[in-house]
Amino acid sequence: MSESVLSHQGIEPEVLAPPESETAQPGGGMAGLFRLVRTRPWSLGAACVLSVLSAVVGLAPTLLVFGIAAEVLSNSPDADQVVFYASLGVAAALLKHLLFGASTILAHVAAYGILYDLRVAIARKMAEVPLGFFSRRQTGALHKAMNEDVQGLEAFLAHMLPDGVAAFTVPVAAIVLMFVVDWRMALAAFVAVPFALLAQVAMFSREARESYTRYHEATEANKRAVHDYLRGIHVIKTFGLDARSFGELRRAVQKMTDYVDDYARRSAPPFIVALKLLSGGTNALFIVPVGVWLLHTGTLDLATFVFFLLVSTQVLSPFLRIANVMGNLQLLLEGADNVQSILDEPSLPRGKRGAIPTQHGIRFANVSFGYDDKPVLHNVSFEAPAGKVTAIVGASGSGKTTLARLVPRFWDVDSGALEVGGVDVRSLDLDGWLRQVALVFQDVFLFSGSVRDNLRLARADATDEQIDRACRAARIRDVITALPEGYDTLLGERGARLSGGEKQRLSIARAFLKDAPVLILDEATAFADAQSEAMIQDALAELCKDKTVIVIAHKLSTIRNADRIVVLDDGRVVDVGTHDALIERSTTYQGLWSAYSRSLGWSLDNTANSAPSPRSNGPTATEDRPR
Amino acid sequence: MNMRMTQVFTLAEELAGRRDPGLRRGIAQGAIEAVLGAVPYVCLYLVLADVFRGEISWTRTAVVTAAMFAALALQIVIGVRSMINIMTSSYGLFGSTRLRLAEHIRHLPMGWFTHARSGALADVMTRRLDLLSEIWSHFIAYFAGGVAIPLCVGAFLMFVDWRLGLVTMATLPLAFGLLRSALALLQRLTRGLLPVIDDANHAVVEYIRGIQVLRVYGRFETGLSRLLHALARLRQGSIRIEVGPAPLIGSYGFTIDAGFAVLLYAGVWLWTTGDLEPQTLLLFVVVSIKFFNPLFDLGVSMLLLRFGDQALRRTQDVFETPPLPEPAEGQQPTRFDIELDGVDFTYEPEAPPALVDVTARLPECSLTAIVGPSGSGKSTLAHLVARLWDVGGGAIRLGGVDVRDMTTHELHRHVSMVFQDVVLFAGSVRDNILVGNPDAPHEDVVRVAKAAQAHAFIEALPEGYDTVLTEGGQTLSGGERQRISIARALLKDAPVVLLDEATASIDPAGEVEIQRAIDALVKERTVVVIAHRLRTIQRAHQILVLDEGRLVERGSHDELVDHDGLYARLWREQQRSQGWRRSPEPAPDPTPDPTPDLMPPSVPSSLPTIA
Repeated sequence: MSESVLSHQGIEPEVLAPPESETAQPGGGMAGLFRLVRTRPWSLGAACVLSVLSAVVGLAPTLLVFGIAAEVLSNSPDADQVVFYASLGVAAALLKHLLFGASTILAHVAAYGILYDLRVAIARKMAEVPLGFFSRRQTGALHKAMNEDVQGLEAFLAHMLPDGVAAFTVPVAAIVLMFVVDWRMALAAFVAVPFALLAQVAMFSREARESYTRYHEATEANKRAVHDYLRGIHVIKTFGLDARSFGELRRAVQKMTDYVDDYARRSAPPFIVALKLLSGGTNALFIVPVGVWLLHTGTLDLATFVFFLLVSTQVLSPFLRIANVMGNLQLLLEGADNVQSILDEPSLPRGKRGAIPTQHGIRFANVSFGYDDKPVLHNVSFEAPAGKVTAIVGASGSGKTTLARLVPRFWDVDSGALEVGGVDVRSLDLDGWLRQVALVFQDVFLFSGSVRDNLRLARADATDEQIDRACRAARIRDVITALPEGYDTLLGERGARLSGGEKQRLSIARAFLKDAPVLILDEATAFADAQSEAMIQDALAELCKDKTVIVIAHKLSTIRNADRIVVLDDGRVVDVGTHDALIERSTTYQGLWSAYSRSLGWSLDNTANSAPSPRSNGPTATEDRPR
Repeated sequence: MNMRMTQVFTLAEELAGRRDPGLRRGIAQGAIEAVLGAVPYVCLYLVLADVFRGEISWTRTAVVTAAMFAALALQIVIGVRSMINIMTSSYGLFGSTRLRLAEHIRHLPMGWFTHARSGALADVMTRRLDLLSEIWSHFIAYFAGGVAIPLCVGAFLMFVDWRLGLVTMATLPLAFGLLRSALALLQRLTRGLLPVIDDANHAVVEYIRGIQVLRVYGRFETGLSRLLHALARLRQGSIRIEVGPAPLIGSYGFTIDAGFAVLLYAGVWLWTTGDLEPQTLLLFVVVSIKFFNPLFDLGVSMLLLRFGDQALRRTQDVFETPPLPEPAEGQQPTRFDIELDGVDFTYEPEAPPALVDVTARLPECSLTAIVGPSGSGKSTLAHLVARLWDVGGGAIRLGGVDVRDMTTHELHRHVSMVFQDVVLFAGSVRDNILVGNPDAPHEDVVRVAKAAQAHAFIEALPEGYDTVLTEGGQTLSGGERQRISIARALLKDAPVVLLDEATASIDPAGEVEIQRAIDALVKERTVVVIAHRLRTIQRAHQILVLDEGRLVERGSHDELVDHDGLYARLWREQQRSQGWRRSPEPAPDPTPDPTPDLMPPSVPSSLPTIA
């Protein structure tokens, strides 16, 4: 072994980390890796050359031992010659480490440069894909791609590539050289190599994929079990489950132990055989008898014999490293494929620059849409007139949220058209259109930074006064001014913690600042606490003034006064009208209302003679249906 | 922390908290195998000496060849045993470590599990332990060899000629000094890099989480520039940590290599002064190849195992966190009223108190609701009853027995909790319900599922009760998950039920079913419920109103509304928020007014509990 064993592992533990890919398709990625190499051809090329030179110089001590042996055992040994060899040895050692150091530095500078470029490319790609991409794809997978998958490439670029080139070329060159010197002795010296390689092939190809898959599964099972365990720790505590009776984790641990047990038993013999056949000194076993016999027959001179004894025992060990390299390559290729698949995602067409709607009535014309193969919306047609509130209601899974998210182009429609002010939304300038839409959703994103920073997201040049006014309108000003540092208080994991309702009002303040003509509200009050709820509703009512609003709410009382209500059922529009009209004619709407009213009437009761269900608290769904 | 050499060998056992003879055998076998690897070099010397003396004999050749063959065969046999022993035992030990960690954290107070800690813990229990087991199991044999070979070969050389033997080792102090500095530098750089990695991770997470919002606000460039800054620092730091120690590591390697030259210089000097046979020098030259090479491997292994250091330290930190104390002999309650007796609680030493002197009695089979603004300590109080934390002052008694005087097992047998945030585990629907009582027969599972309004949708799943839930049951709706969690609590059949926001609007469309399920769960039990929606707790026997950790009001719904305090104010606000307006109202309604405006005009009859 040499320094490269160290550098194999890199400094980031991630290099050795087990696979976590769930989406990657294995295979076919070598070309992709070499494409990466071509982005830094000179520094990586130089790193390889220096690495090879270092390995070549590294053979010097062996050759020197040969020279010294010849000298010491000659009839008239010359001490000065030995001292000269010793000095050569010092020089060679110095050169070897210098060359290797230079190779390491070049390779790492290039590798981390490439890693940086890849991460930036992924980050930029995220700005181009449809916004819906992030809902479909788990953010965990994206995070993994950007972190681990990219990080894994460092092992290839900075270690496997320069080391692999040296580990392969130097022994091969040495073997060729030795065949030229004496093919019979070379044959004896390297007779074991094919067997060693066969043993490795047996290990790394036949069952490699299957074994790798099992390892991958065991690791994933462990990870899932640990995450489940931690996520459910309060349940585990309160149900008195202990770690052992928590079967999933125990099974996962057992699965890994079984796998390793089986793997060790199957792979230890070929692995150890290959290791021993290639390790220094073993080929002396063949060289000695053959050499002695050839000496005896007089067809071999002593010097050549000694040369083989000393040199051939030292040239094979780099091959051992190739086996190590191959083991990790599979992992890394999957990561690379995963990264590539993100970079290959189609971008959302950005539309005509500067094409911005002047009117804001929104029209769905025969819109159909589905995720992958799952249709969600079928021929949806309705209009949300400019300056009016249009509510969308429907049972869960009826497609309300999807419908609302088509407006800011989280996705584009599959067929039909979505028009704003009479213009197809796809032909509008995407960024220009997004500037005209404000979204207030259930889950509020606050990034770590001050309250003010979070608000300025909506309008970078907002003055303090504008911010203050927006917060007052959003009924959040009092909360902010009560914070230790007011608008400069830091938010996020390490910063101040706001309740769900407070976050929601902050997002409404953003919407006030943005002052966009179109407003989309999705379940904006769902998680709010009692106090916040009323304030949020006041704030929203103010926000909605004179805007084109599309609102989704489960609390039907909140949308009673909407200008028009669109009733969705299983992705189809079944009716459009005002509350009063719909409650008279739409059975779907009546059903939604009666379920809603019944849930309002419920109150917790633990007495024995209490009613078995809220049924008795009021008429049942069928009874209270209006005629 | 400085990992000593002995610690390296016992690391896996220390973490797992048990010994493994198999592992010790494996390490010993690894050392023997490595030492046997020196045999060919001694043989090599013997052959060389013969060759140069011109006395090659067939017998001698045969003996040498046989010795090398025997050494090789032994190495293979022992090596295979060693590899199997080490791999199997060490993965077994690291598996035990995972279970031991899991078992340990189960006894930690819930307060320990902050979001950041849980994330770090998940990282320790997965990636970091994986990394440690991988590095350790692969390199411990090299490490054993790296120690054993130089020791044996060194002893052999000392035996042959002690002067040259000493010379061979002359550069070692310098080499190890350099290695130590390299390790120290690497450790320092790693410590410096960790926050940079954390920042970059954090920036990536935030970028991905926020990208939708950033793009909607057209502020994608703002987010990107934050990210690029963090990534550039990561690049710089990563390069520095690779490049920084390189000179020291190179010097270590060079010093080891230079030892060979020192040996030659000294040998030649002794030889020319007539004090040394040239053959002995040759022996040293040949055999010392096997002395110097493993030393380099040893250094490399040390550097590699250093990567495990972080994992080790973090794992040990977890083990050192004290668990909630358990009584030696647990007392058993015979009745199930709950007594809150001057309860104080503070999350962090510096933080403002979460609960201050809360005193209340919750009679057996009563229904008590805890209400209050967010952050008033409602959940904290319920969690204290289940002893997810321990009270800071005062006491909580169940049936007259302080919860701290019961074993956790005993306490949790009597208390069920249903949380808003439902956790389903990977496994079948049945497994998830059986969490409530692992020994329950199938009929009981079906019975509770029916009571929890879950039977029908479970039967409609592809495999019924045997349907395997993945990703925490994300394929089910929020309401369906909630009903499974209620079935689970029903199966447990505990006399005390804590509902933490369990009635909140997770799945508004399925709310009626959840309400029926909860009705079944709470019947004739001591119930503590935390509720935002005051409507749902009007029938509670008593309502405790918390404000900033203090109990400010107590009474029935009607009493509290009449009292016209905080509760009455909350009630009015909620009543008002039922209707949604195009323009904000100037002031809240002066009186709670559950007017028919709440309801569609045609279904006024569904208002009995409000009216």
